Amino acid sequence: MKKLVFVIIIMVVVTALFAGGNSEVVRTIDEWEEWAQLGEYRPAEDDWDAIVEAAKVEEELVVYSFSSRVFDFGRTFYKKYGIKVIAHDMSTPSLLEKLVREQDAGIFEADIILVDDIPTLYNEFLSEGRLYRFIPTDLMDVLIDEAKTAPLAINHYGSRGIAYNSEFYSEPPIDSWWDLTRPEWKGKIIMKDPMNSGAEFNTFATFIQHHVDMEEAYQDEFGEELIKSYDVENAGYEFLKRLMANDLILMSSSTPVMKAVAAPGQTDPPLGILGFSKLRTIQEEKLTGAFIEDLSPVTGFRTTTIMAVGAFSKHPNAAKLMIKWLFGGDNPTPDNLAGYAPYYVLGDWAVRTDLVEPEGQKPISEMDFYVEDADWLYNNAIKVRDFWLQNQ
Amino acid sequence: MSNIALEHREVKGSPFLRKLVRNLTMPQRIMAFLLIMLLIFFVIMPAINLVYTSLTFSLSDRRLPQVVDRGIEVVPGEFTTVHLERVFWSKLTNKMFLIPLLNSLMITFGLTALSMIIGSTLAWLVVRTNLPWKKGIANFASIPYIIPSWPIALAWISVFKNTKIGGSPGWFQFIFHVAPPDWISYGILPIIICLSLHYYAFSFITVSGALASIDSRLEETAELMGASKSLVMRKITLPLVLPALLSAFILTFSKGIGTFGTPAFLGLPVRFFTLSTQVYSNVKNNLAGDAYLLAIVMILISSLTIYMNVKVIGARKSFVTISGKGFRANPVKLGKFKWVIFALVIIFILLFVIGPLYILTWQTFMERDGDYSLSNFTLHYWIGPDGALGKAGQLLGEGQAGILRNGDIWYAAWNSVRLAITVSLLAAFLGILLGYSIVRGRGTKLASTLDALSFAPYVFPGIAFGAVYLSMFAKPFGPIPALYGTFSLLVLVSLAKRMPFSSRTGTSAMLQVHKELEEAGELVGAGFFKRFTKIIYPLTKSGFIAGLLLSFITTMRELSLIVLIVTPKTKVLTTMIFRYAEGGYHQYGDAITMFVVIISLSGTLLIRKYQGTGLAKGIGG
Repeated sequence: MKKLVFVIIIMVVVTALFAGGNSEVVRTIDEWEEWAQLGEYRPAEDDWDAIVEAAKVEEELVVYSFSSRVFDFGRTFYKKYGIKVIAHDMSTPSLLEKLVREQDAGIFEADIILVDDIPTLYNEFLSEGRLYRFIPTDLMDVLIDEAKTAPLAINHYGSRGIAYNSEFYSEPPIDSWWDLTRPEWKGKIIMKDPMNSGAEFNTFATFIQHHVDMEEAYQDEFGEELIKSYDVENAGYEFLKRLMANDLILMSSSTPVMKAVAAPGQTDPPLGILGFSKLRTIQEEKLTGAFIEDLSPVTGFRTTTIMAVGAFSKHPNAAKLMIKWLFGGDNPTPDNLAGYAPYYVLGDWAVRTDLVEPEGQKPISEMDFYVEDADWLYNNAIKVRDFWLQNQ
Repeated sequence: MSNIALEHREVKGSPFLRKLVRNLTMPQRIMAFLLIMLLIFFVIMPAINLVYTSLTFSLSDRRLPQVVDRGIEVVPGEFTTVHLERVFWSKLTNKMFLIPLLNSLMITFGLTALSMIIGSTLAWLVVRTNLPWKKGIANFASIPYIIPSWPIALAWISVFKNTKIGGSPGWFQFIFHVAPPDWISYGILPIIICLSLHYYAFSFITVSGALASIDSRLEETAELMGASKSLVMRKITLPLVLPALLSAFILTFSKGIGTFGTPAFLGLPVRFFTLSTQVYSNVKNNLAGDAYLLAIVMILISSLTIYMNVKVIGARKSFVTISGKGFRANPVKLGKFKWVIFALVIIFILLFVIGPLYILTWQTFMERDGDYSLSNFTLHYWIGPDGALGKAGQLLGEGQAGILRNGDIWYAAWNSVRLAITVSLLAAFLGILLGYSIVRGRGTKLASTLDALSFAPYVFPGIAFGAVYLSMFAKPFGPIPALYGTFSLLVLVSLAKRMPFSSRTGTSAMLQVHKELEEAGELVGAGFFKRFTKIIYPLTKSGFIAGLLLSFITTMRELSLIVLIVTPKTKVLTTMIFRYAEGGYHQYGDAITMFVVIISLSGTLLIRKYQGTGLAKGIGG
């Protein structure tokens, strides 16, 4: 018995030490592209029968996702195709950092990523060949123009805006982003830590990009010219500085933010800066919250969620199939949405023309959102981050 | 090969060369030499790499405002002071370096003081007084040592969160209908309290050990000679336990400054940041150069504190307290306060040891946060199936199964367990090799170098050591391929960090085996390997096993050390808990925490079974 235990332990140690080493044949990226039928070797028409068959042989699929809804579409994908989805849910900065380090170390785990930080994706990942574009050719006709020409496949648009407790306030308590800097909201604004998030960070950066609008909005709100702090470049930075000085509260994720804003029975509920799609938790958690549409200078910020195939993916066909699944498949209806189901909610907008919006949702073209400027955001990200750090 | 064999061998050349060859071919010398090389490679070189990386450009630096504004061309690998400037001499210095530094110091000194007070008081009560039910109290008081430190913070949040930050009320507000103020809910005070409630176990265990070895007649004699109780305490008891207090201080301080989970959870809402959270955030945001400089600062603080303490206290005389015969430990009579103190100790244990575990367990049965009614009871987070619906028809936890039916959790559990087993076996083995080389080579430069080097990882706070390994092994280094994302890297970093403890356990075990025993083996012609397996190992087995199981527990609960280098494929239970807690899925996080606690408790019971002595031997990590 003792000997047996000893042998088992030794075996565990040995496998533990040597497992994880890459024993596969090293391929060049060109060979991989040819094998995976991606990049240069992408055929003009996708042969879905062949892809499905090959995907089933691949048996599994590793997904890195910034959205916890990955567990939902992973489960339905498995039910449909019998392909096991190994889902890893991470924050955007973590996901991107892990992906770069893994690839640099020669580890190519991620078959597909789902993430929302297009400035970094377009400028660092796509350009360095870390990710591959895959948009099913047979879906091209039903996609909106922007999604057809985008550098990577867009799954959906999301948003960032301001939510309030609709039980306590019968109507929206504010009408301008500048209201957040007023003393009566001190210590009563809550959001996810932008240092741990792509979209929250890009929202603020975009306000800085549109500083002229912000300056005008200030004048409209307070009826006087904005007097900026001595160390501040423009109205966008001034807004951020004043917002942070107003005791902004940070959380590690947006789920507790929605709960803090919209838990029923509160006597002094805070405002929250977060994604409109968190509205979906309202029914689940018996919350009472709503977003504010009439805000100056804009309602909020539009985010873009990207799907892409990882370089040297070992399961490229399963990854392609998953992208199609996430697009909603061939003929999605509100009752039959394939992998898009978890995103068919208020606050998320599909990029296809053949799908009606969820009940009660305006088309995104009618929403007053700033749209992310990938290049500007990429070039200014660290400067804005440094400013944030100085004031936090 | 043995000394005797060597004596008969003809060695030509000068006496010096002969001596050198003989010295170098003695087994402990060869071993010591190899171990030193190993330590240099896995501890010293990574530290040098850390400095190097923080003083050179990486590609991502081309977006730094300091680079863009001055039009500097970024050549990766080229020397630059831009990170030095950013961290120590720019507009960022205050928020990135000085304030976090101050916060880290306040937390570390605060938690070290508080945990030493709690730990030593409990130790004194349990060892030196007539307190009832001492054995039970000692057992319960050791529990925080075996569970991870930050679940206490999670439990704290569930109790003290207020509606302003938490949305749904915490336990405190639910029971008393008053919202606790922010400074109780979040920030420095709860961080210090929560960390102290974990780290006091270090002081408790080391001071208990020291107190148990003091002959109470020393104190009684002084009292007979007219010394007051406080004089006896100051002049006799305190000096005798000082070495134990010192080692508790060093242990707590160096762990405390590198701790990550608790400050991350309790500090963020009120924007209270520490060096450890800044290191983490900078690494995540692609600013490794800045992060590494902060890690270096942490290492320097830790080294300086330890050095000063060793200098100040180490210079004092040491005392021989065990006189050989007639050892007595008469308990101090607590008199009329006995039951009051007993009640206080029990309350402490109920509130701060059992309490957090109870709360965490309870939370795993709540379908929705903050609803304490029975109708909210669910077993989903433990055994629910995929895609289960809650009572309001909602998908629970984005459709994830309960932890016991979730393949992902079992995968992480398997990673945790195999990591803990691998590390504990290798650490125990290395410990014996280190102990053998250090003890047998006593008095030689080689042995003292090895002794000092094996102590080096002590001064690397957990998250800084993780950063060191991230910097070193993300790319191929020497004969070693890039290890990032492999399980071996987790094994290496955990093993290297445990080196001081392994070496100490090994040394003390080896001291028990007198050289004569080994020489007897040599005389009958036993080779080194045979002597090792037939004489040394059987005699040191008990220490070997105690160290083994302790490494198992400490590796199981580690977060700060590995949080930067764990990848999706190598995820372990502790990083899963962190991710769930961060994402707001408390029930899953709490359930996995209890899972870790159960595994660790089973490990401790194993120690008991083999050892009978509990945790006191080879404590650390």
